[in-house]
Amino acid sequence: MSEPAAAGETQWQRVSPVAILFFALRGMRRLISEAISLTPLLVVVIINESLRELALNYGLVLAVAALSGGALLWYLTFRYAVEPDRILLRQGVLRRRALTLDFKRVQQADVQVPWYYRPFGLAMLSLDSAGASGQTVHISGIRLDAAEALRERALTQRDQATADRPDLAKDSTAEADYVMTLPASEVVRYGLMHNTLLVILPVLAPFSEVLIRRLETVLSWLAPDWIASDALSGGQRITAILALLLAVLLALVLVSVVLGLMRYYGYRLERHGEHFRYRAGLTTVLTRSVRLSRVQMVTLRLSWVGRLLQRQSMLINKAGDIATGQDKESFVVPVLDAKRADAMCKEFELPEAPPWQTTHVGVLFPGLISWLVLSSLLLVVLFIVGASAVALLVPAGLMVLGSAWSLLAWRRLRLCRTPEWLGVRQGVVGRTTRWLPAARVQSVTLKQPLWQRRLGRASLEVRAAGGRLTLPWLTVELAEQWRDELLYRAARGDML
Amino acid sequence: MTVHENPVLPSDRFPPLSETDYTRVAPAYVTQLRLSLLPMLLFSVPLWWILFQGPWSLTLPLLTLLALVPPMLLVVLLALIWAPRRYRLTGYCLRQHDLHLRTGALWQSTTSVTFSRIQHLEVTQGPLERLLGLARLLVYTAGGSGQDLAIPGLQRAHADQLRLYVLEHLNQTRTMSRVDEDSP
Repeated sequence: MSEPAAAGETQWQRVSPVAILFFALRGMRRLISEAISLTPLLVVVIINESLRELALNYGLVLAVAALSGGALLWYLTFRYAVEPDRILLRQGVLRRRALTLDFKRVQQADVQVPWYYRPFGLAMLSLDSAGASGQTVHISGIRLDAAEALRERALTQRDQATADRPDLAKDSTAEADYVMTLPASEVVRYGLMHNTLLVILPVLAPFSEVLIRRLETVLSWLAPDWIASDALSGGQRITAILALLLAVLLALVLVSVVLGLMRYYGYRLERHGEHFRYRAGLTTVLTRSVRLSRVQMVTLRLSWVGRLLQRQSMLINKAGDIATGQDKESFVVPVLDAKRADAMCKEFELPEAPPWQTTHVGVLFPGLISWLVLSSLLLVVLFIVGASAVALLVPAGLMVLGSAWSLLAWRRLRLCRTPEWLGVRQGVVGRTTRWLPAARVQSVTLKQPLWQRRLGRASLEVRAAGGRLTLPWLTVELAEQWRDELLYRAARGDML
Repeated sequence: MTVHENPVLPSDRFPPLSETDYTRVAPAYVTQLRLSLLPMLLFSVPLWWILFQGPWSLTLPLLTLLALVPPMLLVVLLALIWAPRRYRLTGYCLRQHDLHLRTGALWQSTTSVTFSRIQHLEVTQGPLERLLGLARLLVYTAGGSGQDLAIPGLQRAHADQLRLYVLEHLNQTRTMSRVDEDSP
């Protein structure tokens, strides 16, 4: 790495031209995410014939031209400079930005190797900074060894700046204190558990009419005449359509399994002292690390599929995650069977046999009452309109189901407070357990609506940089005691 | 400004807050709350429309008057009961290590922040507040994107004073703790 000249002049460097590909891909991703907000417009374009013609003829050419031109401009305007204790960045086509990031303010440093960088020995370096603004610096298209060296330098300087436990200064070559690997068979289960594509289906529902019409054309083009042919009886046709739907579902599952494998193949987690680090990925290999003392929130997720497969996942939030609002920035352990989950809980020093407490019955009421009021209102309206008895069954069923749901949600809700952690466990079908370290509490709010005050109850809302937890309907004395204890804990760092 | 002591106690918690610890905000805050109720009069617009569409043949001034009465009643009621109550219950408490804000007439809440967690402070004034010579002190920590605590209804000068006081206090505690850290 070129050190700055003795004159102290900043030496601006360009990244490799291959990075144009990165900028183009990023532009495409942004375009697609923008397109989601423009979906209504897209639907109009698809339905209107002349607009569709225009889009088909020139849309692709325009998009490619805009993307490659934009990527080239981004590449030309992107410069960076490395100084002994900080990194400088200049970027932006229309809105020029200059960024300075001190190495000692770096919270997290990732090195990623996307597949298209691999033949060139290039990598992308991401540096996350501390603070509420939580800016992230991406330098894409520098040599892998340079990226690794910069990452090491940033982390070393950060640790020097916050050298509270110098004995733990991490040494990546040393023997790890703890190692966990996930075989491919486990990662496949992750794909099954986190089927994001299945979530998209209901979102598409409003456009189902258009989609089904399209689907029919596609089907007739794919030419299974047997679906449309009159030779089939009604039952056979339904079976055929169900089989097709099942096939689509299976295809979606397959896609999400492949996506899961791409992200977490060869997952290997290591702990050196209090530093955790994982490496994973098939096409793009990602290295991510977190320090135990920087953990803001630990989430254990058990989805309903996960319940069937007896696997859960773990998400660890660090400072700054919430500001960028990105789940994908957090430290992930994708699949955990019971044994690995226990081990991970021990590694992150979570309570072993948490003293779970049930909550006051008052927690049940807001949900229950809103379901009852909503469905009875619907019932009255339908009755006045003079709907048929069958139609009246809908709100009645809603009432029963909603009430049962609220009841179950309340029955399953658990709270826990140990000297080190605050925990909330909830979920009707799945189960989510969230742990907030007592030492990371930023602010505490004691909430008392009128009815809770009458009953001598209060809810405690605890905020940390990784998210917030609400401990509902505690007795006032307990809520106040916990608040005073948590505040004492937060202030103790300064007092001792 | 009153500062309550909460010295380091041998126990593992701060002493509980008591009713008398809270400092009330400026009385002009009641006026601010009352004025902030006025937009509720806009409810009379849909009401006016409903009456206008109705079968009654009313003259326009009478119609307007009728439409204005219910929102007006609501505003007066809230101005007489809710605003003074909210003002009475809004207060902050500054102690040696932490800052508390109590607010809300029906939905009461008390937000607490320790000085060790405060990242920055801000004094802001909306147009209404500027008219009344009031200001708000916003307190930010690293938790979440917005402010954690906003003390409303402070006299402008008082808000600045409070901000400076907390800032100074913050620096003191931090240098003190740094000195402690450095000494083995």
